[in-house]
Amino acid sequence: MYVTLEPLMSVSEKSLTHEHVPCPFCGLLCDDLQIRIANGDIKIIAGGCTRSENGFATTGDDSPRIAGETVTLDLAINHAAELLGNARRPLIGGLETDVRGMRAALALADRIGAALDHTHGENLQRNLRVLQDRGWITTTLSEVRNRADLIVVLGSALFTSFPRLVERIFAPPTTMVDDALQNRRLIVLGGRSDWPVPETQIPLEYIPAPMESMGEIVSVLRCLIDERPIQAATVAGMNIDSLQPLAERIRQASYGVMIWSTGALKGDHPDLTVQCISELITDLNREQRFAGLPLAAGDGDVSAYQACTWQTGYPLRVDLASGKPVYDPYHLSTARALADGADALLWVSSFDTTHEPPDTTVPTVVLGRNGMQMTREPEVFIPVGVPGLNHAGTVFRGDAVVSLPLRQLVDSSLPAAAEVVQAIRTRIESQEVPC
Amino acid sequence: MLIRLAGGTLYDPAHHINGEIRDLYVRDGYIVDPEPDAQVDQTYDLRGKVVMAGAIDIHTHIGGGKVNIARAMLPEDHAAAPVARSAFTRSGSGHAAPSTLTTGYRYAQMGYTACFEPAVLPSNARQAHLELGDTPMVDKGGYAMLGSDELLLHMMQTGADQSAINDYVAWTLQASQCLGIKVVNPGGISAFKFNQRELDLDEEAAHHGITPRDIVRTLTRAVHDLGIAHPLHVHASNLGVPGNFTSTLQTMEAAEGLPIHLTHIQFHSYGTEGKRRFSSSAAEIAEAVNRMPNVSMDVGQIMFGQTVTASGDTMHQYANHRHAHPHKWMCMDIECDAGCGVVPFRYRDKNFVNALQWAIGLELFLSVDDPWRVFLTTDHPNGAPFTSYPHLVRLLMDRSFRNDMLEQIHPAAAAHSRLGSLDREYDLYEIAVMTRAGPARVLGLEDHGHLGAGAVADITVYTPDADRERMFGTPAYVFKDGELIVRDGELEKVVWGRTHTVHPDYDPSISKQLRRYFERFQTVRMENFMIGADEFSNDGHGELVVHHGRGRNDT
Repeated sequence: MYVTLEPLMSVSEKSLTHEHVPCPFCGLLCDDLQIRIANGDIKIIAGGCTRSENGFATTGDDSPRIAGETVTLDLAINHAAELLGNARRPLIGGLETDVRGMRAALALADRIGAALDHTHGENLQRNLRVLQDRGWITTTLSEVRNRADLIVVLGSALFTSFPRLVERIFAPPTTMVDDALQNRRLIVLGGRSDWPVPETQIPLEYIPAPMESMGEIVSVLRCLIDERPIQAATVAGMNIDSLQPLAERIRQASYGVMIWSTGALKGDHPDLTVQCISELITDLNREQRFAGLPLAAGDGDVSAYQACTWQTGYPLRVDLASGKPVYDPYHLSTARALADGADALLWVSSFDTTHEPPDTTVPTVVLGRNGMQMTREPEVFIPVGVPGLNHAGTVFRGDAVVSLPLRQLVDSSLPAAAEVVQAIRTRIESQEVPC
Repeated sequence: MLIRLAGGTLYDPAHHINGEIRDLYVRDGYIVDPEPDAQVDQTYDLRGKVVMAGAIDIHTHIGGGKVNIARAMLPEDHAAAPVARSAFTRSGSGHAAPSTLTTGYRYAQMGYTACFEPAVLPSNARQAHLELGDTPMVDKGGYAMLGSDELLLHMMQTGADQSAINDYVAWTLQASQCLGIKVVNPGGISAFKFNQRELDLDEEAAHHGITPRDIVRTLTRAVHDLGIAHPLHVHASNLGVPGNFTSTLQTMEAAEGLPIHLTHIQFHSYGTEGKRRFSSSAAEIAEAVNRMPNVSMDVGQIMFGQTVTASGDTMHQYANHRHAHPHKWMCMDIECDAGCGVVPFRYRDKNFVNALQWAIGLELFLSVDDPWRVFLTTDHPNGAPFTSYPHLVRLLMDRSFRNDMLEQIHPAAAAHSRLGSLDREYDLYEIAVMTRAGPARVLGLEDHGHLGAGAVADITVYTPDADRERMFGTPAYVFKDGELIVRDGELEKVVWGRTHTVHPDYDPSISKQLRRYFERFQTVRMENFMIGADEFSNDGHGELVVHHGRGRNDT
């Protein structure tokens, strides 16, 4: 046996209600869910949202496959080990897993000399490039909830990506700083106007703006705030004067926050948009307090880059082929690495059945959530458990500071991604001729 | 398995052993009394070698959010210092902010067997432990940061009694699984969130109206009442501000005679004399430490070269951002709990201020009489990377080497420093005090830092060398829990060490209030905020050791 299937916690099959359950299906990592399990059925009693309803629903067939044929787990691991162990330029992608899964992936990558990137790698690097180039001033979810008197959301898509953002962060019933709620204003800059947003007592203003021009808009906003002369009358089709009230509000905020998610920033160079935002915020702090909140999507993205950073020194897009970590945020994107000669792909995706590997002819091993929909049958498919549903684990929240323990909610024969990756590494090591 | 370490020259200050030739016996990971009739399985011939307990670093930023931000921010630091994997060690990188595995290997290669992360935000403690869990070779632990968390400030503002605060402090230790309590710029991280840019010891913080002195007094009392071995670990107000020595002296007094540890005190020993309005007040600080037996300190020595500063003190990291080198920096407000700031920095020997900082640190080392109350740190990575310790040891042990270095720094700084007139040279016994016996005592780790029976067999063996930097940089042998992990400065075996925490008693009814606080205000539930002992297993690589302290005694 190469895989331990014993659950860490024994869960009774009869009706059972779990309190304070963390939900790993978006970057908000809400942990106030109440979930009832009855005869294997999972019902969210409190704290649910569209994404958690979807995420906690179980589906699929638990059998591993090789080239579409059902095989034992042992055979699948053998085949995966052979494929990855013999690859010259292996790539480990997806990385939609928990910290333990990421630790296992890093150990395997070090052993076989693989490169690493996450599904949301490009979105992560857009922020990281700014951190590495200039830095920034940021904040976290509890600070926003309790302290902010001005919240500027860049793009209404955030309300869909993080369904409980308003309920949990923007419009809570109480705040620690007494007058934060009374004075709070919410401004949504850009995106569609028809987002699904719950009723809120917080005054909300929507300013239509094209997301692909957010960098220019923020630059103009910065000029208005600094009272620098602007020759143009419009920016991205907007009358510049229409931004003046926003500039005024920003200047008057006691604790203002600007929130973005890089996935929602369109255009050619979203990292430059992030840089404009960060410089605007940094300038403001000469006299007042203002902070940014880059909110990462979820799917284990922050867990992956944090663990990769502490173990290798680099936040993903790192190649261990030479025996030492080499960082290249451009050439080591999943797409470029596949186009530039990667000869085996290990794809880990344990949260979302729609996050399939990129369409590639490179031999691929998929460790995926069972029921995963794939356009192309991979060489090896091994269904793995969902952290926080089928097994315990730890994941980071989208503000990159808080991490929470996930629980096993249902009995499951599905191995954790970490266990499969460890088993693959053990198999490769046992086959290696000692040097 | 019985191991004999034969004929070494022992320096074991906990037992007043100063350079005596003795055999040591190790069984099952512990040092044991000599067993004349027992069969020895393995003998190491240590004739002519110096034997000490494994070294302990009481203040080194090696794990947690701000360290990892420093890593992510500095790919150039890592690209210049890649570390290849070997048959049994992992790859890594970094000079100023090395990756975790590399950090553990390097500490072991210098004879260190325990390291303590001094700034664990309770809201980020899980990450700190994840990183420490991936730091091999050494035992570890952390100090939980309090004093700018809105809850404590609110309790103080509304007149909560000391006993309730003690309960909260004890709960925090358990929730964050830490070994001590740290305060950073008391109240100042919170005040910065309310746009306050300075906060002196007796100044009221903007929102809560509490003074830093109140916070220091309340927390030293709590730590004392709870019977925690490690005194309140204090990063004082006004870090880096010229003239801050007065508030540092006042901070010592704020403890009102209870034990207090002043950390990286070099950064808090500045006067305002001279035409540059920046001078050394090391003499005043050392005089106070010598006079006040309740005070201990670590130095936070700076060394010249590139490093990165990572601190919870957002107020002063923000103020210092204009000195960033390379020019990038970040600050973050965190969870109504604390904050962090990361500012890369290059200390230059030809810069007056940097040169004087270097001299001030050494003046402090050489002017505090009792080596049991001063600890060898560079506040890694803030003053310098921990890998500069062997060089620092040589500066302390070798006066002529020190004076050679003094001649190379900015001449005005050298002229303004008393360093050239300080003749003291540390001897091996004193080095063993300040890097082993003292840290173990100040942390309450009774089976660490000494070579008596019952101690864990964390042992470092050096080959004597007049060049103390070479001697302390390349131990002949390092044993961790009785296993040989380093030979001639090279790694032999990877081990994982344990995590130490202290769990003083608290009234369980406080959980009710805390649960309500978390539900009303926080974005995390109390039940998930708390770190369980089961989170330390790390696939068999980790283990939590729970200490109980001296017992609680509220006054």
